[in-house]
Amino acid sequence: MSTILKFWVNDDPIELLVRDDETLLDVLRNRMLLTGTKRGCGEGQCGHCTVILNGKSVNSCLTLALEAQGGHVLTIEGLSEGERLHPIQQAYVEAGAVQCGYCAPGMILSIYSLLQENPCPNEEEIKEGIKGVICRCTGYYKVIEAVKRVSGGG
Amino acid sequence: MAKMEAMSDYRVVGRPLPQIDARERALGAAQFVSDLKLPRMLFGRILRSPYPHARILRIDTSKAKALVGVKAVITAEDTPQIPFGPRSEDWTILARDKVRFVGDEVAAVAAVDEETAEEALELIQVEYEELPAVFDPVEAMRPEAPLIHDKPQNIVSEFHLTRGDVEEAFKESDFVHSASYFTSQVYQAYLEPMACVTDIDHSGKLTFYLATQIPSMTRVTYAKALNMPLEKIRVIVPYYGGAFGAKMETNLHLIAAVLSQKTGRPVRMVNPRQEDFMAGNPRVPMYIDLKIGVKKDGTLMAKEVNVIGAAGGRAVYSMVIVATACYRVDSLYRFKNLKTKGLTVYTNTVPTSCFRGFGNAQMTFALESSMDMIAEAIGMDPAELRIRNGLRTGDVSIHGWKIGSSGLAECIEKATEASHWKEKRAEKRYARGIGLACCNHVSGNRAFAREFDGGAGLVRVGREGKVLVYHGESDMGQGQKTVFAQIVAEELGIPLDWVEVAWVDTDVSPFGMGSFATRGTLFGGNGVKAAAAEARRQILELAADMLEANPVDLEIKEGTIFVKGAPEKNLPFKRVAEEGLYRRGGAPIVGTGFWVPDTVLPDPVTKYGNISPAYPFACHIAEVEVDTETGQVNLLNYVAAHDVGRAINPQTTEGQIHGGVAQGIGWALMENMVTEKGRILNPNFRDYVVPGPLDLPPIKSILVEPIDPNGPFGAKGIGEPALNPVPAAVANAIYHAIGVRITELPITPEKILKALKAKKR
Amino acid sequence: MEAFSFRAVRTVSEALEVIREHPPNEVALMGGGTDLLIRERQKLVSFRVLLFLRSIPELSKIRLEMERGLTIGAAATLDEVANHFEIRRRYPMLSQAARSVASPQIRHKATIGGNLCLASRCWFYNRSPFWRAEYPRCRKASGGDQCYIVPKSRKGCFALQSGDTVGPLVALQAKVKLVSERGERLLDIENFFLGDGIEYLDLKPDEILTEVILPWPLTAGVFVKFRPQNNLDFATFTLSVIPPRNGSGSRIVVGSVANRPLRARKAETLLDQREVGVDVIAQQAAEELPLISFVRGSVEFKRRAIKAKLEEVLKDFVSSPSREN
Repeated sequence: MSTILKFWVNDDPIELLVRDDETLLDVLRNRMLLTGTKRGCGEGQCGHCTVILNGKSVNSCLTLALEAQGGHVLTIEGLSEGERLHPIQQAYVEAGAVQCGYCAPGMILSIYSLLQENPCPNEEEIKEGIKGVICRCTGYYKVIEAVKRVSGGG
Repeated sequence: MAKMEAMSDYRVVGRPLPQIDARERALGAAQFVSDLKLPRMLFGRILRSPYPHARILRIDTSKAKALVGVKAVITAEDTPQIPFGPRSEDWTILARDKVRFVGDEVAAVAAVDEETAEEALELIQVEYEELPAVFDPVEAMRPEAPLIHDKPQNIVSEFHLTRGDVEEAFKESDFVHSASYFTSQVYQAYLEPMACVTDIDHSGKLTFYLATQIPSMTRVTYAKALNMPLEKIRVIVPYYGGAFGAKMETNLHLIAAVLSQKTGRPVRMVNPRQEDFMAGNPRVPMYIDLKIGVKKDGTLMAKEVNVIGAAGGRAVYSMVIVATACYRVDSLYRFKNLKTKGLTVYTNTVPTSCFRGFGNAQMTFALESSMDMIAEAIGMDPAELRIRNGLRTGDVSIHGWKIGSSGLAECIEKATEASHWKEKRAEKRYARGIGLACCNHVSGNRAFAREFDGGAGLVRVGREGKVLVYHGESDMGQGQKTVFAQIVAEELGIPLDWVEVAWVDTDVSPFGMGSFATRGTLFGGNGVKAAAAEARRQILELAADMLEANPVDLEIKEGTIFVKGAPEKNLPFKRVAEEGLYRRGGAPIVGTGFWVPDTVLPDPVTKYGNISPAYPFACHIAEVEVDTETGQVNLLNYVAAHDVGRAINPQTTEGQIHGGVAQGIGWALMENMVTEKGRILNPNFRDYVVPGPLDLPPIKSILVEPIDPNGPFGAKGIGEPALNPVPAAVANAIYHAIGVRITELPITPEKILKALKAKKR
Repeated sequence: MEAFSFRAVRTVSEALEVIREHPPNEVALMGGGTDLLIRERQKLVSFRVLLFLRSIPELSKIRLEMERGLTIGAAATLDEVANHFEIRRRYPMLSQAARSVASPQIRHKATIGGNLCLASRCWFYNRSPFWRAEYPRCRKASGGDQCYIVPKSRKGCFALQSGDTVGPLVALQAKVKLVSERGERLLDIENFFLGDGIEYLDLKPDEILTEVILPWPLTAGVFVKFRPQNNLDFATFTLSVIPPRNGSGSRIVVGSVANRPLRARKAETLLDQREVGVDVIAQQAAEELPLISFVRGSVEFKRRAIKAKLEEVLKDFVSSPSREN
């Protein structure tokens, strides 16, 4: 069964014919070639597929594309403005939080979501806020530092 | 966390800097292997064995082939039937006759999309005859155990080493300690599952886009496996999501290649995460028996070691890892008499291989736990025991390893100071403890490299003064490209942002041994440094001519070339580069360079010989609190002091320490591949738990810089030492806290409670 | 294989109509889909129609009526439940439990109804078809005659109740409203769980769980989620404890250890009577529960940990007199 999906991805209005069982992740990566969003596990555990759907961070591997009908999806590609990094991305880079970078998009969008809900999180709240994304390279230390930098806290 | 300070007087080297490609990664713009899309690309999937040991009677692929959208279905018959392997010759691209572990590759499919490929797998019918299987290496050596590869007792290889006379030395010892350990099989959990894209051109040349730590060595192995001349194989290394040792040679790449050959189209193959758990290359599990004799003044007299490691269903690098476990720690302390035996044994389990530490991590857990017990027995401070026996700058170890620089003592000093070691050891707070562990490692391994060892680089100075660096190693996210760029920028006297580092492409790049054995910075760094020096020489020759000066009188700073003592006589670097192009028929300035270490292949029998140009050391201290009701361990604090020779980039170095400690904590306390009859019961992140931000203690990292004579600007490596000491530091802290000694990883709450209960009795 | 169709409806009656249009078991209800979609991919469940409930506004509403109680629409997300002002204030253990689930990403989608009805889980069941093929006789996965967790059992399934909000809802004496074309049912939440890993919930194929109804809270309780690691791991067990009020009404509910939420009734009685020490009460609770040994811990370990954690909770009650609203 296929349905026409009309939604916004970053700044663009999109209209696509999607299969009802297609995930948002597959539509973004395979159909729209927005490969910034990654697949790490397909089960909502690693968080590398995180996008912002209607203002809330979600695992796009566990989101059907049709759940975004009439809505808005923010991917990592939509966070920066051309060559200008979003402040979260800037802080992330400067703090040394990038190593292999595979979790960076998911992590940065998680931080985006966290700061929307809690602009000045303390260390515990930061850890709770990013726990949905697995990082294997950094031990999370410099990620936490990045959040502190951009939120002016810590 | 305070902003990091630059650690040297150099302009670029020694400065804490974000990775030069951090922007691309943070933008989500970096193309990882599993992101690549080529025109007409197909998607591959592998059909894997559900049995740990079985004969393949019949495979029927007809239904799969008939499915619309399927372009190829292959079995062993479709591959060159040449046994090959990175070290042994017990691999086949797809299983012939027998499968030897759950997950063994039996057949494969290429289809127009992932879903069709998966559907096709279900249509392949395989008839198996189950065979008796064996899952433990000790069991596998028994006479009644089924033979997995027709090797007597299933032994892949044996390692023997003797020095001096251990029996005599034990007699002379004041105290003889013995203990047995088990280190668990754990999954690297790199974030991007194993993946590759293969492409083929009209002439049959294969291009592999690989997440690989060893682009050039891989090519050699694959040429053999595919029965192709080396020139027909090209390996390109895009961005990839971590490796930690796991991403060396793998059948997944070869299977994709064969599918490309059969279809004439590019093929992308990515392991679904569950399959990556089942058929990745986890850490070699080991049984370790140690017996150590010591004098009451702490002098180590003798060590007797027995190691048994499980190779899994075929040998990847497990035998080298067992060998390393057997004898690398011998160059941490001043050992005198040794008797060592190591066995690597086939089992019907997933093939095991490299994981940060490479056998030295496993043995370090055992040795450093034992050193702790010895310290207690002779009434000596554990830190003091290490300092007494630790190798120092200028020492030559019992195996002839030349310790060009050792910061071990300084690491111990600084770590104990930062952690308030003395006070905390003395105060006996209930269920709180502090423990210490040290490690050594190599920065390169001549024994692993075989035909040669060295590093090389190619530095191209473009017309606009933009510099492009080619190397043959591999950046898996650790920051290698950045370190290379810093070295080149320093050498050339230009700003860092003028330097770019190219993807490794075996058509162009030098033959690099690759990133393993913590060799990247030292070998690759020396290689690109030599290349930059040569490019610099050419630039200065040109500039000298343009300035009518002598090349020896010229200096380059911040992209300006000037005469020493007469700085008004100067030229922009870019101007010289451009002029060079004009004068030489359009040829850019290209410097190639290489560095060959003064190391040797160890004697095959005696194992004697200096295998690495430099040896990093470290000291870790963990502080814990144990809940004696539930057995939970709470990590309060962690200090990691590392001898890195020189930190080319303190920020990326610290990042490596953070990551290594986190992985070590996971191994020590949390991670466990639960298996039953060769089957992994928890092949996902829900049930195989890696550390999250709430599991990790505050950490202080300390960089010690003895400046190694062989490293580029004195640098050694950091990758593996960052993990080696962690499990022992934690185990020793637990012992200090509650007086129970756990010698089996992982240290779970249940094991702690059992041990506490036993202690009460 | 034909994929399912996705139906987003706007009202409960529309939803019931969709159910009526199809044979039983062809329609699956979706809240956040964070478990359902995984099970669908693992081929543990299949359906022709996926009925999306989050598009029904009335199903996401959270309504407090003074002195009467709280009605939570089953499609309210765990994030909404965790952060709702009145829930945080008056039913803090429910808010805490909702907040303890997984990650922000999951909580932004997963619903309270979904968490409550979360299908029973087992290491031998929640796996891919490839993996499960090696355990052919599991009662739940393949209609066989064996259980790999409790091999000696002759019948029944021991897959675990795993939704973290279940414990607090039982302790808070919630009711669930089930709606179908045949009418409405209001069930005590304890009776919603049938005590078997396969015949798990008293939820008919044509019914929709629409509301969770909580009585006006008299005493704030405590929720503890015990897991060896702080990360995403499913709990080894949860404790939902409500102290007595005027000598009665205490609740000690242990979740995630059996195929239903367990009440330690004898311990509750001891707690009501307040005649023995908290360590005795905790020990009684730990001992009276029918526990199973598995990977997350042997029975002995679980009993010890339950006792330790429960004792901690009860000590707090004793030191600060019961918090009343």
